[in-house]
Amino acid sequence: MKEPKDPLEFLETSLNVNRRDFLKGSAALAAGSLVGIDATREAKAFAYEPYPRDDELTTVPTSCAHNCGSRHMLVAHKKGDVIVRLSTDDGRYQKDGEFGKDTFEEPQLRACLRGRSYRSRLYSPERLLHPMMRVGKRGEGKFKRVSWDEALTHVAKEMIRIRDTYGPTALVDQSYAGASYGVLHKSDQIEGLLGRFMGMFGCRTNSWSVPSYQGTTFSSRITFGTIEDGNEDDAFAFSKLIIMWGWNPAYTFHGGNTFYYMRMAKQKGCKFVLIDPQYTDSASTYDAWWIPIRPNTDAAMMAGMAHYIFTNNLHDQDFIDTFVQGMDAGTMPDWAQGQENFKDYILGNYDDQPKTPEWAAEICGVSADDIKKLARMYATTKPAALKASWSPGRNAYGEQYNRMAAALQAMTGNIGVLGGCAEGVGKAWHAEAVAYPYDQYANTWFASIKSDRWAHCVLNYPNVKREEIGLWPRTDELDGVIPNIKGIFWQGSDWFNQLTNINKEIAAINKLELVVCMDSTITPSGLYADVLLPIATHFERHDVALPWYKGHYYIHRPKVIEPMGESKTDFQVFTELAWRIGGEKFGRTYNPKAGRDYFDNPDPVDEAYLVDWWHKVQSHQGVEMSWEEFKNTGSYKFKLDRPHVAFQDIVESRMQNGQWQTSSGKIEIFSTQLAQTKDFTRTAWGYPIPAIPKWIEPWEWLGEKEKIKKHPFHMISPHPRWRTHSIFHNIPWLRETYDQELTMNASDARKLGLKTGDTVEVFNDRGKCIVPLYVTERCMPGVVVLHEGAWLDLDQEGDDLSGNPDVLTLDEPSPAGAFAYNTVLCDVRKSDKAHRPGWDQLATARSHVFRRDL
Amino acid sequence: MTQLALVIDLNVCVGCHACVTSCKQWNTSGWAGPLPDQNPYEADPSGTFFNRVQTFEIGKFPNTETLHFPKSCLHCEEPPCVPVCPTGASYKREDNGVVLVDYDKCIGCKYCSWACPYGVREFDEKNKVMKKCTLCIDRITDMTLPEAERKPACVLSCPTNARLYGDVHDPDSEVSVAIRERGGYQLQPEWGTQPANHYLPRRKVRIHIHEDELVRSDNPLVKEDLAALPEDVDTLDDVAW
Repeated sequence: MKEPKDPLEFLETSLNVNRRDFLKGSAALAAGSLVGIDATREAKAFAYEPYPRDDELTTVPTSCAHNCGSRHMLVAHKKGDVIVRLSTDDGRYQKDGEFGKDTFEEPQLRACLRGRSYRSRLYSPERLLHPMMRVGKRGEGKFKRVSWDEALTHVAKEMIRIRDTYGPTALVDQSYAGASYGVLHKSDQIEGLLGRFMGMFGCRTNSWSVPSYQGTTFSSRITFGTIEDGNEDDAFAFSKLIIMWGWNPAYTFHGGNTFYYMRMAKQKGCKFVLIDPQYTDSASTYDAWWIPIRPNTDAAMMAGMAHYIFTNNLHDQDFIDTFVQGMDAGTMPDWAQGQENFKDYILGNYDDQPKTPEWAAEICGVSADDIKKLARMYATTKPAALKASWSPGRNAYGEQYNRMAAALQAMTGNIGVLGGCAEGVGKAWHAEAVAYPYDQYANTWFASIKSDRWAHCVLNYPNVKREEIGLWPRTDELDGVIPNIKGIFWQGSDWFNQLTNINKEIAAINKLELVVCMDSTITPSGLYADVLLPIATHFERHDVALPWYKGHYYIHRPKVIEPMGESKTDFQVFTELAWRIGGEKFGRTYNPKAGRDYFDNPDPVDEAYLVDWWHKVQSHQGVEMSWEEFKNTGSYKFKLDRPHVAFQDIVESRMQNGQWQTSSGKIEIFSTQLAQTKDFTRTAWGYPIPAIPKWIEPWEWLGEKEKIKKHPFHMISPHPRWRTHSIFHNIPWLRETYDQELTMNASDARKLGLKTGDTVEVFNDRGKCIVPLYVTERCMPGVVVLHEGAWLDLDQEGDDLSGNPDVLTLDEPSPAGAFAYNTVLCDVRKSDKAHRPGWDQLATARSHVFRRDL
Repeated sequence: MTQLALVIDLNVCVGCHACVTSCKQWNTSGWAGPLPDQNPYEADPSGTFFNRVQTFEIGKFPNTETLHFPKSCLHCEEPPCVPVCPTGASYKREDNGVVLVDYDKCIGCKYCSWACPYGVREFDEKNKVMKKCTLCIDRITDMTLPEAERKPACVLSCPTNARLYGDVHDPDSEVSVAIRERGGYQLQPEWGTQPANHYLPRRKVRIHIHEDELVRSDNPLVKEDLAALPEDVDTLDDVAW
């Protein structure tokens, strides 16, 4: 059979075809048959027969590739250069694998609803297939198709001009793990391919705070000295009590096989508790006791629990004395005698306000009895896992919630024991993560700011104080220099759509002189770009997939199909730009294994990097499987001697003074670093952070009596199940399965005279979005829920018709850099406008140049 | 006679929809496809799905419950959709009990969907033909596959293994055992349709935890007798679930 000449042209006619049309056109298509139609067979209506059976297709194991919370196997079944079908792990694609193999040690990595829909994304009409340059106004979405040469010449010239005119901080890199999470083709906020390229180029303002969990990262680093405070999934199976604090794995699939092991815990009698403003599917599945809590008040409730535990002597004093600094007066370091310790803060010895359950109840809306009951459950059930998830940390003082959780985990001795939990960030097993070149340029930057402050910086330059943008300190003359931002690069990131306070971003972006968007599809961010560069998806390039924070396996990601259209990988684009800007010297420094021809033929070079990486895996991780065998097998699943539990070695050895990676070597509830910081304006945090965890009142919340007169609802914006942030928003299957809607409690809806299906506008002083209403008993009164990631779709008046919550959020991060996504007051009323669930035909007409089906 | 069917464990399902998209993935590219999408980019996107998850909410705040209910054709032993079909397009296979539609005979009159008490027939608006779950007939009868792999796509995809598949007429099959031992039930048996698919009910877990399980053996509080529960305090099992 002949290969189709142009796979794209071929797909166009065959993917969306219905069978009657397909048969009409079958003579014309016979040359390059997608599905193996045998022209000699009798034609029947809708007869796809012989439909492509798996043994007529080439089977290629690969994986999904986004920043969702897990990493599962996808198995592509292809004919020629077209993926006809995707399936998932069935136990075969591993060492000693066989169909149906699914064990406690090596469970199958079964893909979720998003992964199983991936073919719709791969072949979506929103795919970017050619380089484009803007011809209209920013955001208008008018582009013309250009050659790679023209696009890259423009980008290279502008980069040089901007660097030479405005200095080494004029270009911001906004790279995120959205599209390229592999060992080689890596988009990463700090050390990815883009950051290294711009650092080497000599013009880079980095964005240091991570939207998902900066408060949590701060807490884990300050308290434990590391973000590797996580257990592997299987440790959950040994818990007697699991407290899901704002955690909903049924939506996020956090961890590769969380369901499997949590179910096992339940079967062994584990009790589950959910603390969350909304009742979740996870709570339902595990029969959890739901404690509805006012958003942003988690730290207060935890303080109330700590008070109960201390005053009833339920804490593990031996654990505290051995491993913890600053939990009480006895564990304060000598140099800090007289400074505040955690227990005396909780008991109210400094401010005459004991943080009793009754005190906490007033703040967080949970009854004091429930707080006591939960405190007792947690302190007396051993082992118990308090899983302090990330989302409650995405608030005005998010780090205080995570630090307070760490204090509870430590005082009950649930750290370093199987079935306990110290998460936090929750990074567990350590993977060999880097196959791309890694050197002194890996994280070179000339300014680094809190990520959602770029618009503030652009709009107010030069009248910006360093603490307002969280400027990271330096030891050279660039310390404290406010960056004069003139350009942005987006790689693997739809940040314009995903950062806070979008209307402020829109005002800021018009002041920029270069905006480059590198992505595999058009995105709301892309509409605001000057240059759109089409990037190959992970099906179209060679790589290896890493587990995402939890899991101990590698999945081979071969180049399943050739890049669609003129797509290139990020690595190809940066290498080519390096050659264009700095000739062979820059080119070879950036990509040492490649010559100029890498832009046209990347395969041998990519293979060479991956082979080197595999050698590291073999020598560092005791893997005997050869690279060739790994490629043929599809995945490598590690078998660990026992479930990986963070800090277990330290706790089991019961070493006095511990070996935590903090400056004291202990779990620092009282932080040495914070206590010794004299001038917070000179730190990246910018504003003071107390040395011990404390409840600090957020700037917008339901306890703010004045503000709720105007804006009576607190809005939270958790992850949806049917998207990974903004990725997959354009997938028909998922669109048909779920609606973007505002969730509201029935009693609130009654008061407002609203019912399910009404179109409402959600608004505050920062913006407004239009969205259908869903009335439920599963959400606490006073709180509304709107899932993040809808694709921005502005009407003439600037209102967002898609229901994107970030037109309402505030671009004011916490001192530690936590995005305040969940610190939002708003109001809701019935709207005359029509909600647009996606970019409908009118909206997509703006981007029609990207669409193959129009 | 063999009667193939699904048995779905509602106690395990988290409502994740992986079965929904896996079903669509397999069937839109297989014998029973395509499964077209209508207006995916406009208001009220809809499309053809052989398998859907319906979600029900129970109770009043804060004592709420959620039930996810995956539903596809139940492959009735007495399928009401078959006798109403004017063209004989709707039929039940004699060898394995799977209810199917012959697209070549179907005229799209929708009588069968009126007759079906479960609302599981899926009209393909694009091709004007009635479609429905085939139990992945092109997989389960594909003799080129090893027997272990002849399972519907949804069963192979479920991340929580909530979906079982087999012959409900064979008393020793996995599905029959599950139905017998775990209270498997049919949907609306009063219709007399005898659906072959069964559901395993939600079960609340109320397991009493033993004292020695609660307390870590090396916990110093035990030695000092500080961890004993005061008698007037609620225990774990008194929590209002």
